[in-house]
Amino acid sequence: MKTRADMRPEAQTGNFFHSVYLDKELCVGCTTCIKRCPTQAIRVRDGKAHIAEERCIDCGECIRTCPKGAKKWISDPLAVMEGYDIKVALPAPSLYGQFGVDTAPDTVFLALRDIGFDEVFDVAWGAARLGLATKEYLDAAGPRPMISSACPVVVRLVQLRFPSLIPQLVHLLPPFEIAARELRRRLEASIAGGGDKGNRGANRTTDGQPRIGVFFISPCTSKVTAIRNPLGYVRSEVDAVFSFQDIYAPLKKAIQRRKAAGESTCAGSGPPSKMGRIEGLGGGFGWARSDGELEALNVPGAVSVDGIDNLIALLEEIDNGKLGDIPYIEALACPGGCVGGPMVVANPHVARTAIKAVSVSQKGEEAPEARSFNGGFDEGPSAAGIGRSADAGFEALEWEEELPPKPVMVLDRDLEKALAMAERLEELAASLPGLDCGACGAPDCRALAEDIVKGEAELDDCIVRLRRKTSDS
Amino acid sequence: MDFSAAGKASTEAKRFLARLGLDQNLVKRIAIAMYEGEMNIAIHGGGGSAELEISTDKVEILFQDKGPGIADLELAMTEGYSTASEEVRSMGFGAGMGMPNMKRNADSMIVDSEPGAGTRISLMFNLSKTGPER
Repeated sequence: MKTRADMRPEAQTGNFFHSVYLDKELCVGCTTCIKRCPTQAIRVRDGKAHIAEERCIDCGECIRTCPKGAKKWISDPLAVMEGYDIKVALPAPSLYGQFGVDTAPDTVFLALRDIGFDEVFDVAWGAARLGLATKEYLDAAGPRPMISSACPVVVRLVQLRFPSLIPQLVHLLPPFEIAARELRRRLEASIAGGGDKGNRGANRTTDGQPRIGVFFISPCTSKVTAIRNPLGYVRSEVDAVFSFQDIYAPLKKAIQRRKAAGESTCAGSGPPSKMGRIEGLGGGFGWARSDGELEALNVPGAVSVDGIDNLIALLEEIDNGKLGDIPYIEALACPGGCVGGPMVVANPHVARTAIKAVSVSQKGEEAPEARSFNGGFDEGPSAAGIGRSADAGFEALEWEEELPPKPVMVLDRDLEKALAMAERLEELAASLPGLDCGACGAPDCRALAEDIVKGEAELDDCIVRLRRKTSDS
Repeated sequence: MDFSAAGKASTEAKRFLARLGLDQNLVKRIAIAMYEGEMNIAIHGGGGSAELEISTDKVEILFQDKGPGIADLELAMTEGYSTASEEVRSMGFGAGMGMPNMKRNADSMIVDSEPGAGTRISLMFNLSKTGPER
């Protein structure tokens, strides 16, 4: 069985795991990606791109922008499921937008069963739960605006580029983690209470319990990284992350089969039971697209931002002490929100419309549901009321540890040395042409100056300057 | 009036300070003061300059403009008092918080201005007092 530890080597060369990596074979050293990277983490050296691990926030911008497809992601292969007795799918809300407006959520849900999952627990449940908690969280006094932390890219970007805004992040778990924890708690309680009738157990743990595998189906590279390097909590309850692209083909096939056969229930186990309702919020499915979280939260005056450039511009303003009259920011790094994630298949704009249809269709249900094929979830006494609005406090969802700033731009730990280097950097930057052409392999002239000061590049890497120098002499 | 570059000096200052590893709160205070200063220069000063000087024990910012100068400094330092035009206010600026915000965030503030002779504002931020994280 593959485990989290034995991922492909490219992403495992240092102290940081990253989902995003470079396929050296495909890279032609064209410098397109270096300009798009929001943390200036990429340099082209010796004809190939290099990603500085400590700076990469796994946003996937370079994956979107690379004309040669050399920027890739690592997610877990579907085969890891085989090592578990009870296989649970945790579909991101945006998965329901991948198959067009005419594919009902129930069909997707049942098709997940067809391709080998025993249970499905919607991340939308976690989103709706987080929505209720966030409303309460916002009632407490604190700096304004508060910034949603549901998008891991936002959290990492703040950590690296806007560390003074860390207190303004909502210090609550992300939807997928909330869903994973709730699902595991319910399933374990159910197994302990004899509710697991499936008699599954080829991979039982040493204490004789069936091994539960929680598989997050994600549109997003940063979430692959987030389960390995959690932010604000110690350990993720997600065992593996599958990309939309990997699951799309088998799932699509299963959906088509179901549509052709007109089947709406699971053979042998009847229609899915409906559990884990959260009353009071229209559902977490809307979180798949920009504005969806705000519509669910309904906080007057709150603002939604999506797309990495827009996000940075807004954070920059907040960092200047502005926008204090705005209570809340829904912040999503991908254009259009998670439907625009780097690992999606469907056109984000089409997916957005499909998600709207899903949200409407689920509104009558008052909730996203945790669903079960085998009666695996038994909402025993301990689970009673967990999802009800009366119990929607935020304490249970709070981060378990502080998020430290990540000062990756610091030139030297010694202030005197750092000052000298910073001054030299400014001098160098002033002496460079200022064309920001990227031909040296750094994203702009200032970045080259930085690299020179750090001893990682030299002045003659600037071709423009070199040419001017030779034509002068 | 050019607001297109608003926040540029502040952003540049932040980028420079990020390379030094200074305390986050200090960087934020400097950025806010920097922003207010550059906005004042844009709104009232008709253009000018902002200089940032850093040593191991302090950060100093010097704003200079050739604007109309400040007629009544005490009034200018009062929260909510502003001489900004209706046009500027309609754009969401000129709330009368610029000077008070600078004073609040800096460890010391010296204003040197006379009507007709422009304005010089020097701000000082103490490094040792805020205890840089290192």
